[in-house]
Formats: sequence, structure tokens, C-alpha cells
Amino acid sequence: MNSVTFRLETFEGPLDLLLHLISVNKVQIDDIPIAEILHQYMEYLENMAAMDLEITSDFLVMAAQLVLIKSRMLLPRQKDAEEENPRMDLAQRLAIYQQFKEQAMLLRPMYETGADLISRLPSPLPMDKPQMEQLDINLLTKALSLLLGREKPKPPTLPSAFSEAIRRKHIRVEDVAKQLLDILTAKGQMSLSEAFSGVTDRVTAVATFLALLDLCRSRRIHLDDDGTIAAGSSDDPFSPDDKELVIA
Amino acid sequence: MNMAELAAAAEAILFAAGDPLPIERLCVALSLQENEARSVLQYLKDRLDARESGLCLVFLEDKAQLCTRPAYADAVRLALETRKPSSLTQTALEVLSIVAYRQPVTKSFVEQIRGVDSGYTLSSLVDKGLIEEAGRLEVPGRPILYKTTDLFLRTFGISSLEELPPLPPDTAGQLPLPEETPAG
Repeated sequence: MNSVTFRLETFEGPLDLLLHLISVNKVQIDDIPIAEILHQYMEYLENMAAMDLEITSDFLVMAAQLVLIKSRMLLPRQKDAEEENPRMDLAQRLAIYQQFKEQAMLLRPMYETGADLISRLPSPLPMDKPQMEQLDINLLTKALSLLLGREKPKPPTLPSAFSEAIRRKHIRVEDVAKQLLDILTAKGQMSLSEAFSGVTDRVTAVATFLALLDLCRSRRIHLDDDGTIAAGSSDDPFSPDDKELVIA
Repeated sequence: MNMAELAAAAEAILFAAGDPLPIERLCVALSLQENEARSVLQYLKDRLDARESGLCLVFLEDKAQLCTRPAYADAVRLALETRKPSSLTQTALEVLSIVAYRQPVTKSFVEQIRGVDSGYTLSSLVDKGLIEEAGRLEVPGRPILYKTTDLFLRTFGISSLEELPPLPPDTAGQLPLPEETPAG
């Protein structure tokens, strides 16, 4: 049997290397001479090490699996052999991988075809975007302070307060968003201040703000210049990213 | 509108759209049933071919797109000073095959088949626009699922996934595929 040559083709991974060894040794995937293949496989790894190539953990895991298979084959077979052929799993993995390798070869010539079909990017036609006018920074500051000002003034924290368990408030942005959408469905539209009307603390305020941003981004709502919120153009069921807010 | 006018309207729409246009948009715009819209598009396609236009029409699953005719691709590239996209490596093709035939798939599914890390290849295929994220698998860890794109269809010169060369029947049927496990 041939031993692995020193030319050392690089292999993607252990399955790749095994398929190569199987073909070089002219054996069948479902009847691998495990001892010989294992021997050549380890030789290859040694060559890689000698050439200072990194042996990734995938290769080592496979080496261990090959050793396990070999040892199982050396053990006397039990009468009620559960694993008829210890090589079966490996053979299946190799067969599946080989199938896709071959399929990839079929796809290659097809790739060249489409490269020559060139298309345009969409024309930048004006959408229903509102114009941005000059805005006064004070308006923004005023709006923010109005928003945060809704927070009720907290009494000074007495040392005794820390003897209780600290209660954390959890608000899910998704729930706030659902509430807003419900109100919108009922009323058709609402103003930004109406959206914040039930808000009494900072956590809820931030959650509401995030909900509005997310609904806007996913086009479930539409925000006008004057702060009117209307239903947006998207009908997708709401599926937000995971967000949970906790008082810091 | 008669057929010629409808085809012209479709041509204008596809030009402005640039990206593949869902045929249903054409139905809405021109007040047509789906089969009528398809006939209009076929008429347009045949007409473009008949007069040897520099443009051609491509069908992609349920969408259509106006593209330059392959014969003139070189001229276009010279004029616009763009290069031909680079070839796909064997690795990229393997990963792409797995996604194409088994979509939607997770990264760990691909890695189980190939026996090697495939994250980099998947990202690069996403960058090339040949695959895209298609939601997440609802198991612990919620790994990303990948599927092929319209660009994939166009690049490989097919109009739907059914036109992919079939997998050999004996192996595809008998062999169990790797399980979708969260740990990968």
C-alpha cells in the first residue's frame, strides 16, 4: 500500500483527508481497512506537524474516532452485536460528504453562466419621505425634559430601604409595542404624547421609546413630521429581537 | 392595452425596478392575473430575443428581471471598468451545495457534513449575495438559518431551485442526514 506522499496537499478537514486516503488506496467507503487507513492518517498528521502546519482539533477528534473504531473491531464480536459494523457511522458521514463534493462539481460549470447577466440597481425614485426642515435644538431638549420630567420625584433613600429585597422592574419592549399597536388599531392614529401618556417612570419611558423605534424600523408604524403615529405598511407578525429592560 | 403595450409597460417597470420584481407587482400595476402577467413577460422576453436586444429577460422563481445579454458582458465591463466576479473555490461550492439542496440549514449542519469549520465560507457567501439569513432555528441557542438568494439562481443560470441537478437517488434516500442538534 502507498504511504502518504510528502507533497502534502492541504485538506479542508478530516473527512476530506479520509476520502483522499480511501481513493488513493482504492478501497470502498463501506469497507475501509481501518488499521491501514488509521496508520496513513496518523502519518499524515505527523507530516503536518513536521512541516509546522497547524493540526486543527477536527483532525485530532477524527484520529481518536478512528482509534475507537479500530479497537472495537479488534474486540471479539458479541453474539447480540448491537453495532454490526463499527465503521458504519463513519462510512455514512463519508458517503454524505462525498455526495455533496460531487454535487459541487456539477454546480461549478453552472456558476460561469450567470456571471455575465448584469443588472441595474433600483432607480432612486423619491418615496413618500417627508422633507427635513431646519429644526431648533431647543425643541429636542424641551421634549426630552418633558419626557423625563414625568418621572415622579423619588423620596430620599433611607438606609433602611436597603434592608428589603431590591425589587427589579422588568418591562418587555415587545409588550409595549403590542399595546401601542392595539391602540393604533382602535384609534387609527395617535400622537407621540399620547403614546407616552401612561408613562410614569424612566424604565417604561425608555421601553416605549425603543418600541416606537423598532416599530418604525420594521415599518409597522409611520411617524409624521408633526409627531402623528399611523399604521405602517408592513403586516408582518411582530417578532422583535430579544430585549428585556431592568432598572440599572 | 394590447399585448405590445403591456409588454412595453412591463419593460419599463422592470428597468426601473432593477432588482428582480415579484410577478405579483406586475399584476397589481397592470391589473392582470398571474398567468396573464407571465404571458406578457414571456412575450417581452421573446421580443427582446427576436430583435437581438442588448437586454434579456430572466425568470427567477416568482420574479422577473431585466439583465444585459451575456454576449455583451465584456463590453459592459470594459465601459464601466468593472471586473468579472472571481470564481468560487471548491470549498465555497461544497458549502453552497449543502445550503442549496438542504435549505434552510444552520452553520453547524454544514459543519457536520463537511467535518470542518465553515463559518468563514458561509460569511463570504453571504457577502457575495449568494446566500442569506432566513430566520433562526427554534432550539436553544437559536442558530441562524441560511438559504439561497435570487442572485444565486441568476448566477447559476437557473430560474428555480427545481432546476438544480438532482441528487443521486440512491444515496439521498438511504442515508440519514446529520441531526440538527443545538451543540452542533
